[in-house]
Amino acid sequence: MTPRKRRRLIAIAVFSPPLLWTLLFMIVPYAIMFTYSFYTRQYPTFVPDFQFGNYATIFMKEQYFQVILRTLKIATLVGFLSLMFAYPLAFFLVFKVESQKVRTILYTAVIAPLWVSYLLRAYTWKTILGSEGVLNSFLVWVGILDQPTDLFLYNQFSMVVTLTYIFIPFTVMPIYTALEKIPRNLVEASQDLGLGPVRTFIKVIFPLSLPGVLAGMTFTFCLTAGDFIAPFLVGGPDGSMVASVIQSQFGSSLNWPLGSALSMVMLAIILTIISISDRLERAGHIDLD
Amino acid sequence: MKNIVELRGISKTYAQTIKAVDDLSLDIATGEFITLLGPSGCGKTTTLRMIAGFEYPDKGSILLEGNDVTELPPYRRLVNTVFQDYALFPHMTVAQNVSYGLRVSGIGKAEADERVSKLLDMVGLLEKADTMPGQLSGGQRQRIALARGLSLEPRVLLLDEPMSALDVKLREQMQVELKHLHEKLGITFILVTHDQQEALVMSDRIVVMNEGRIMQIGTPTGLYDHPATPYVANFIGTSNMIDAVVEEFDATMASVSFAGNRLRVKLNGQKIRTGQKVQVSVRPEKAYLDYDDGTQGDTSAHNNFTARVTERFFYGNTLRLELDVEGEPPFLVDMPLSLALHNTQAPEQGSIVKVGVNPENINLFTGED
Repeated sequence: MTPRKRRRLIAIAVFSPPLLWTLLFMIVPYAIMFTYSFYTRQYPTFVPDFQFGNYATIFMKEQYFQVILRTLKIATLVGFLSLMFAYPLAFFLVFKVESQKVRTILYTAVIAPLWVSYLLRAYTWKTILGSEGVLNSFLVWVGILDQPTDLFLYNQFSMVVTLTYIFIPFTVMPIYTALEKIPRNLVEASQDLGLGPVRTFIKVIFPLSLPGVLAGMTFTFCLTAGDFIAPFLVGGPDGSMVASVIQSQFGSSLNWPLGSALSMVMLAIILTIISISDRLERAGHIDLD
Repeated sequence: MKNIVELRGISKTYAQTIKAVDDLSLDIATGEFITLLGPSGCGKTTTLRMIAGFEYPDKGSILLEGNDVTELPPYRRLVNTVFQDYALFPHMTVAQNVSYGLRVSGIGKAEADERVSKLLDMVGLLEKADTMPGQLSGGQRQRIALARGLSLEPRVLLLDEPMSALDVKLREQMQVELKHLHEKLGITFILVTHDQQEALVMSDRIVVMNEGRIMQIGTPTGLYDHPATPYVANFIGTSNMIDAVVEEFDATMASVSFAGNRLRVKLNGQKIRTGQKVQVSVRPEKAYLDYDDGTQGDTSAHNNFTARVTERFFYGNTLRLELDVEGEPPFLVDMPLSLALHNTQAPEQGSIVKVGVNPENINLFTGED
């Protein structure tokens, strides 16, 4: 065997398991879903077909159309809300904490919730916001409320709060990395040229951290758009999201073709957003090293 | 001449124990080109950063044009900095970099544009106005950083090792340009460098620093010819350091002995006593090989001693001889090659030569340091 042939064999041996995995568990299922989305439903089953009725249903019927819009709205809200919390936090960690040790500890503390079960973290908010929850008890104890309210839970507010809490580490991480990469002497140069801290932030720090902001918001947006546990746990009737609808199409509603079509629409939306975000990041890419 | 910068007993300690700058006082005259010279960690950069306002001294005060600015942030000081790695804003064009501070200083757009063009023209990079800094070479970035540093017409320009990232040829060229620029603009330049050559070429005055303190302040020739301490003698240029013992002395001259030889040394006000152990230094190029053939002029008043050639190093324009004098540390003599050729050949390894030194070219140091 020539060395060249051997190297090729080794490469095949190394790369085929992950490729095979991806093919079997990603590409093939997507392909099947894509095919299903054109099938016709014949209760309680469905028959192979090629028609756009399922897609038409999504865009014609208010309930499906609305749930997609609501999902995108909630995902956008969560994205922005995460940014509002994550940016100051990352900024504080990078620019205000002087001890490297303290910074590492705080950063780990931000990331640590990711190792806690997702379900548990969602449940936590149920405990906090529920009518017997921490928030209600506190407000009653302080005297702001006469009796516990169920206003906090089972609505879009509770969903946004829960999802923001759950996904915030994904926003902090890229922003932290982006801020950390900004050379300190750029900040000094700006101040040297007469710009105070606020203007320095606007003209130097924020523009140079934009790739991180974009990446963080994209993460959070996409993760939120595909979530179905939070709506299930803390979302009420007006808090249902597209992922829960899809789930029910494959479950109780027994409408696989419609579920597949909904999945395909969401997939298209998410892929579009990721590629736009990726293109923006590339366009604004500046080599800081 | 009025002092534009006055440092009064400033100290800066890092991490409670590391004294970066230790009770340093320095007056800098308006319009002068002053260099803080020293090895890394000697506190020169910290001193510069305190003048810029990036660091605040623990003790002492800093005066700019007679006003106490010790507590002022960098954006309230009339000084600007050229950073070591230029610190150009990577997301802005060259022109935007240079005009960065102009707009907030209240200058109108038209005037700002005009000044940017003028500055870019001055550094010869007008055609790069719309280029991003990432596409410029090191030398070009350096010029842009310089143009940006001068954009606000500061009273003092601080230069933090501005040429350390350039290759030798470019560095020499920039040294000349910077010196010309200083002469043309007439503003005060404070340069920080560890490169003694750079300091000698450009400065009006050099401040030699070590371990957070000033070792000596002087003009380049003054420091070179009359170093106050062995440290300065070794840091600036090369010196032969010889341990010697004082034999006799009068008001202007002393006679010292080393390795069985006698050296007559011109005194510069040093207080010495007979029998005292001292150090003397001789620059390699100030010593010469004495051929007794009259080509070196009247050398009757000079010192002479014999030595054996142990090594020869060819430097292009000079030939460096390493000599052994009775087991003392090697004694270096630099011969200009024109002279070596004049004598048809330089001495071979192992040959015995006669070394001559003018008493005026020997420095005598008394204490340690």
